[in-house]
Amino acid sequence: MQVTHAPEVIAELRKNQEAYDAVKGEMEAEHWGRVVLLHDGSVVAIYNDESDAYDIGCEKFGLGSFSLHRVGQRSIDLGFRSLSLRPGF
Amino acid sequence: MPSFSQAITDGRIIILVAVSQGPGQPSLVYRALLDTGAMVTAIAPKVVQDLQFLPTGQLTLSVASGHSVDTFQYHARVDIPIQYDEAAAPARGTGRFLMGNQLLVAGLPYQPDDYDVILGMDFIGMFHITMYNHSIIMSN
Repeated sequence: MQVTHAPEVIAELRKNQEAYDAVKGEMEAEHWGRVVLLHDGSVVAIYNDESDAYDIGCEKFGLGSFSLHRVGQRSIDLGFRSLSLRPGF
Repeated sequence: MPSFSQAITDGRIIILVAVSQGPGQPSLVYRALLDTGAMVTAIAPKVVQDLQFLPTGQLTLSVASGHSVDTFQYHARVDIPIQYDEAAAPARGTGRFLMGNQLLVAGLPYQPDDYDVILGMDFIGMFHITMYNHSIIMSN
């Protein structure tokens, strides 16, 4: 079972990821650990709490039309149990 | 202190959790693996499909083999069956009294066989946990 989402949702995520990547250095220098709300390829606001960012994103743009990015987040380690995620890994 | 206990079976701790998109949203109960080796909480494709989650971002997961997998990030509320003040927190859904939090979770890229949620250290760290006599005791 694989997850798929509507093309417009994926397009919004990609646009916002590109926008975040463009300001990543500045964000990591000044807002480490905070949560950035992005919409339509632009940074909207920066919050201390991810639930605040989520609630405001839902209210202003609707779920699926914004992104949240935690500043400084690297790849996530799922640990030993993640070996079971995919046969052959 | 309100708490519940769960037997450790086959070297794993699997508990029931209620997952929803947030307060007041429909929730469903899933089997969850409590995993201190996981940095964050993750949900399986079945949960995403059942509750019609939409992503709030993209993530890269590192799995034990050293490979990286790109996946989606979601915002979810996850609750476990810890009883607390009934007046302050009326029973929800299943009739249990639940304690938990809202957090950004990773989407698992594949469906595990016997659980649908991995409770990582972002969630586990919110509770007082004791392991004794082949059981785990969780309290808030």
